[in-house]
Amino acid sequence: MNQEVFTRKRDYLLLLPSLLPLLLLFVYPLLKGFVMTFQEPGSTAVTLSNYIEFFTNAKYYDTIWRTLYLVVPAAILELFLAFGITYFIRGKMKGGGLIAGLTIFPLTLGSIIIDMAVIAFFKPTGWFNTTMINIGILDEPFTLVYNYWGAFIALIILGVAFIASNLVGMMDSIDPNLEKAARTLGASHWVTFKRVFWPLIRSNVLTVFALNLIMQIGVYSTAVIVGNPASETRTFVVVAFEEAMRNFNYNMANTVAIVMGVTQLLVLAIVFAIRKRGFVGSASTFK
Amino acid sequence: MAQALKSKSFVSESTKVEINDLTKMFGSTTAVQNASLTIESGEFMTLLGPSGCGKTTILSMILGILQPTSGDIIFNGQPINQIDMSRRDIGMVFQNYALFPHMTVAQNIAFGLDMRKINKAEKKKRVNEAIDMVQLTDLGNRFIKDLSGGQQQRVALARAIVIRPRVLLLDEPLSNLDAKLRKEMRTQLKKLHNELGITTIYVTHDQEEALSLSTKVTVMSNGVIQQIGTPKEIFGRPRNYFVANFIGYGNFLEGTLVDVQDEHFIFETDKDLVRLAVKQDEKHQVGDEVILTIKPEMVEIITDAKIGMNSLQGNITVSDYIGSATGYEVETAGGRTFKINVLGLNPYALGEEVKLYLDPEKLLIIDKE
Amino acid sequence: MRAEKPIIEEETETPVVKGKHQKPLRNSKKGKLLQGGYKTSSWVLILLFLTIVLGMTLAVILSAFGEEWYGTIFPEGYTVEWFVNAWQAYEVGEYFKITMEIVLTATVISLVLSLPTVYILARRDFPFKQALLGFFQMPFTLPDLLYAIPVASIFYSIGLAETMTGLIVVNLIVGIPFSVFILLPYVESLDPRLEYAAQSLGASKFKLFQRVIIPQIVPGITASAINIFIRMFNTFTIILLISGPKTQTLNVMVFSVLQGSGSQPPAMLNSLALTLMIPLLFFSFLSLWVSSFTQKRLGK
Repeated sequence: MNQEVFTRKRDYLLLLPSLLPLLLLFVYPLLKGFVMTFQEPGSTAVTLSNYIEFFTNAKYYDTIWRTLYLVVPAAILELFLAFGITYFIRGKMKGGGLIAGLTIFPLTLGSIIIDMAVIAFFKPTGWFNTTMINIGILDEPFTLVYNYWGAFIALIILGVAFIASNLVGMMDSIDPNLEKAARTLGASHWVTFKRVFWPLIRSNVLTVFALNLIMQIGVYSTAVIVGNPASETRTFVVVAFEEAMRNFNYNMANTVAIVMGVTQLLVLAIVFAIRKRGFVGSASTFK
Repeated sequence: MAQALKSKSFVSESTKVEINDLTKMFGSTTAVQNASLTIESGEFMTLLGPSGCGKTTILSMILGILQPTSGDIIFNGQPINQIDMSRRDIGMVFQNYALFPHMTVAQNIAFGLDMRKINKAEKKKRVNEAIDMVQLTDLGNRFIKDLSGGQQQRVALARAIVIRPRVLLLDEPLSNLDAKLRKEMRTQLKKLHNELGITTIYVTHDQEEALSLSTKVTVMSNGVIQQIGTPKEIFGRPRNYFVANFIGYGNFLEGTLVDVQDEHFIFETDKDLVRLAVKQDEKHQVGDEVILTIKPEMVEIITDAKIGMNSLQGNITVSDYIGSATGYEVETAGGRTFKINVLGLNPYALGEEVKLYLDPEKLLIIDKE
Repeated sequence: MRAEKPIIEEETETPVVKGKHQKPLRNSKKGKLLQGGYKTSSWVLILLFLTIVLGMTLAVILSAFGEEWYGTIFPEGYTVEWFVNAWQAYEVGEYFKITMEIVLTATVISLVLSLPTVYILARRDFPFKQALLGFFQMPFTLPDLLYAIPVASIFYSIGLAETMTGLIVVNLIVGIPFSVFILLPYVESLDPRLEYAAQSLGASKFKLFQRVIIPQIVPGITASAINIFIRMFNTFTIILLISGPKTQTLNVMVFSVLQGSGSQPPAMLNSLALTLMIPLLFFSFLSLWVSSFTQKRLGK
């Protein structure tokens, strides 16, 4: 008996190889980073000056609304698009797999390549503008790159891919008989969606929405490559990198990061407050 | 009587369902082939068959989930192929019940009434009646996950009948219940049908359910209707090998009718020329190639020396006591194996030599498929 | 709408047939129209979206291999010159080698360090298990900037920044927890009775790992390794912060070029993006292939 307990206790040593590096490389820096936001570069005295600087200097505090102005509308549109696509192809629709695959495909490429692709496609001489001009919708090329719209489009492509990749499985987990049942009881397609499908998937959709929004608040390479990082797409991370790599002011860089983290938490709190007001549970029937 | 009167308020005007030459193809495979059947108003029709025989496909087409490749489904003379499934007025009980997990029992039952924009007072009255009817009184505010399987099944039933459907469809509704509950629900279902008189179409692979519930049974195999008839007809006079085998006839002999003697056919097997007498029927004549069949419980084991026509000699090779009866397999000299059920506990020993008697009145002539 | 019906007076046992008076069934015109509109607009929207996604990808590829492409539908000719130029000018081969070295090493280390933990998590129940799982989730749910900046400042102060070791080590921050989560289902699906059997036959803990557990999860490990590899191949923020001119991964190098790219012809930049795209696509397909292969092998 004693030996049994002994071996069991010793077993927990097996946790160390993974925990130790994480404590050193993740937990310690996280804490140190937090402390650093209360210090001036090269000093250890505790001060609030970084935060005061952030919230009084437009160069810093503008990033909050610039980021949100870019990311929130994009995230909402992404949700509509991704939900629309995955809802449409749910079940056993022919070609559904191909559509899902193509929608999710940009996720494999990652943000840098998508940024380049947006430039190649939407630049003034790219396919988008030449087609629009040839059809006659536009008279002259519409500037869609190196500004707000460039970053917006790149975010949309990646965000739709991310949300769709999560929604496909969630939609499959809802028993299709529930929808059939509602329809036989006399519900139209729309009422079936409103009263049966949506209430069942709502909480999961909001979770994915929140995750995506949080991810996109940390947008960087897109803002730099297809956006205009000097003004319109000057997001949190752009400023943080500027502080860290150009000014070597890690303390300020961290302050920006912390403010970003808090913003993300607030967004999360808002979404989850909305989510709470509905059915949270499993929608798959047995068998 | 009060019960019966009350439940009349559920009865929709009854509907006759006709299925004309219905075919459904999935790509190049045929799921249902030229199926025609008529379900009279108020009838309880069971579609019986093994899984994949096309019974659920027919159900889906009546329900409107699937569009027929050709053929018509007709309710009271009106073809409904083009009618949207939400407008067909069908009460459906799904195999997994498909109850809405985010609604209470009462909300589930009221769903169909909401869709029909029934006024509040009437809705409440009808929901309560339905809840009482399926004996779920006081459970109206429960959520589905807090109910047992049997209770869920009854909610599904209540949700289907509360809309006063023209037709009630049930897709293996009892298959997820344990054996005891299944029997109980069967009785309830039967009572309900007697009270309401809704035209009911019931899909199952369980021949016992079909026998006990239905007024008519349709046996299907490989997308083709094999036989339509009352349970008595189906079980007493199966038409062909598939039906006989599916509903429990055990012993089959292939052969030809070679002669007639005092209102009996003389039958001879093809291979080993076993000759048997069998009661003459109108459908067959001398020269027909047929199959003779007899249920295991109809085969008699005789001890006296009544040797002659229709008796065979053999050895008991398998003995299987199952409580109320004992099942034997007897191998005859010609190498045939007969399945026999004898009431009681093991009257015969393994290896014992016995004589079998196949009563000409109990032998059945059926068609080869 | 159905009118309320009076209770039927007849006392017959058999159901009353009144079929003749039934109202015929009718479709809702509005419903049909709405459904048709929904279907059409969905198709238009989906095709439009997919056209953009495919068009974008194609545009990058064509541009990278196009001779002159300015305002026409297709390039005037095709060449691999840009590709070769980009490859040479930016020493893509060199960076590719560095990236592979870093990512491969980090993948192996992550797997080795996380396996014992995964085993404990899969087999033992202990008080803080949920909390521990939550902790392992943090590095890839928290924004990486939060730890990347202090890590960079620490690495610069202790001299690990701009070194190969430094780049490998920072990959472990996401690598270890990521491999914990990706391996966990594989180990959980192992039958513990095999281990009891091995132990009852006298196998030590080490032998148990070597002879029983590892061989069983080799397919799982292979699939996981590829996924971890892809994940690390994409590690960006923290590498960007601590990389030096000669110790960079491919994506950080590409990003740096794109960032200050006013002077370069777009075809050259697209060729560069393509050098990043090709290995990613290759590994993604490899991952798909391996996972379908292992699923077949496990009979799922």
